[in-house]
Amino acid sequence: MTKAIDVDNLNKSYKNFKAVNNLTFHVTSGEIVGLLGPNGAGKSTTINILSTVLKPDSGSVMISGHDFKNSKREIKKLLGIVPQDLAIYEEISAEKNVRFFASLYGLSGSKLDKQVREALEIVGLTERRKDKPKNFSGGMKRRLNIACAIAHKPDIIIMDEPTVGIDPQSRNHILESIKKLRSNGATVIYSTHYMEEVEEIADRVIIMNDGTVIASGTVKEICKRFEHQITYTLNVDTTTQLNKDSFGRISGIQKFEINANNIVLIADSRASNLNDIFGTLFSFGCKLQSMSSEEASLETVFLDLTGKKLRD
Amino acid sequence: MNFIKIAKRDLINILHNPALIISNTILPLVLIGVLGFVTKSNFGTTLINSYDYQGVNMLILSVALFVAITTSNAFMEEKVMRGNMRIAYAPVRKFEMVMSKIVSSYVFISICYGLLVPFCQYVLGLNMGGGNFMWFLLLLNVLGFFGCCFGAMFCCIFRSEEQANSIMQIPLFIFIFLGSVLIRIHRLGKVVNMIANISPVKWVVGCSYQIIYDNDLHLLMQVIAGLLALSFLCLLVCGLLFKPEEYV
Repeated sequence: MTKAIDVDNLNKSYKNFKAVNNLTFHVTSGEIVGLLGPNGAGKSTTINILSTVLKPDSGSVMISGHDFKNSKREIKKLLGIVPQDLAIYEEISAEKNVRFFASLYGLSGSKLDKQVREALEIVGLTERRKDKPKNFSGGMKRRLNIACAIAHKPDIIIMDEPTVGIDPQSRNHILESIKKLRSNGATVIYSTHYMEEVEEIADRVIIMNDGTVIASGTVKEICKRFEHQITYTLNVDTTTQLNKDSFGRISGIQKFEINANNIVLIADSRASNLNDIFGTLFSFGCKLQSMSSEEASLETVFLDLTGKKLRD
Repeated sequence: MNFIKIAKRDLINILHNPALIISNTILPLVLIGVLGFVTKSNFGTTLINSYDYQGVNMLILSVALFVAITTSNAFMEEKVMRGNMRIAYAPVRKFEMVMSKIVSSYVFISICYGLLVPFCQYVLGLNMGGGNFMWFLLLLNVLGFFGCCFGAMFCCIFRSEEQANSIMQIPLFIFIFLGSVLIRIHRLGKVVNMIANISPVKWVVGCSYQIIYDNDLHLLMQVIAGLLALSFLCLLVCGLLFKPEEYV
């Protein structure tokens, strides 16, 4: 399998903030890679570097064998970028938008006509091609944003949260479009906060935090590392008597958090420690109101790896 | 060629902005009408009337003031900036990105003032130099080109349309003030008059009066050369400071 993208020891800082920190990963041709990470993890900076508009401080990027440092124009021709913000002109028709951006990649004549038509068809905007995006719904604008990125048939498509703020139908259509693009041979990097999207379409997942890769592999492989992990969420009438050590002595408890009347316990499912947990609760005078348990999923693994602290 | 495609798109984007069209067509005529009327009593009626005088001054003022804003709008106005962002991802040289904005706004203002000057001369009957009006128009065009480069430079320095527009008003008003377009500053003393020589607007005003009223073209080439040199400096700053990532 050939490497479509090869990133090695990439660094980028903004003043004192290290946005990308010794980042190393690769993407194989023809795969869909989900790029996950909390806000500020360095995903967008990485995408901007890959799309060649942002210069890294150090490190190397090879895209389809082209070196980032001296082949920017060649690399740009291979890429289709779907930025998080809508990169379209609202005052001209959808078709004119796609046509204009595709023409910048050297397409013209009947080839341009054909590829513009195909791109609009993939995103389901053929019927509305003559309308101006200013009259489109959020989902349609997002789909047009994708059409503008794929009309020149790029080898590699980089998508930065392409489904933010849209209805489930549009989201489903976008995900189906991405699968179709992959089946046509494209390599896709898909950055998102929606775990279920990654679970649905990604062959492999890269989880970033603090500008570096903290986990990578298939969803199964990542979750397997946590296959014996179970998360209990207990709702009790009061937690005032509980303290930091309340659950620490119970065997198999890996982490716990007390948040208002909720207690979240991450435990080893093999430890059979539910009796001890209930016993501890009762000994501290807590009455159990409700309880749920969740086995390791991409979301719980993600939260476990990146922490639950709010990010700006 | 991508440059032509982008410049064409930028020109169409400008044409979709009614504020820019009004600023470069109707507004100069309104200014001529209002100021011509207000200053009517200061002029005689035979040789130069207030409308002739304000006609020349207000066209120069409009080019000096509104052209730079036209370019900064083409460059970074919120609506077009989104589309421009995608141009940054395409295989387009960064200088093509900057130059397309300058060229498109220059073409736009050339059309606007190319219509305005003959309109003032032949329809409104204002004195734009009679047979010499083409030289006056050429001068306005070169001042317009400088305005385009100046506007682009401020976008490259301040990286936002809002900031660029508000900050560049300061040097533009200084140029206009020193150019005696709105208020005559010759009574403010030798020092002010000497400082006034740094204003490109003053060069254009002086040269225009010579062309229109004295039928004298000897300053024309010098002023054009000066304006082009300043434009080149602005382009140099653009080349050094513009980063496509500013769109992203």
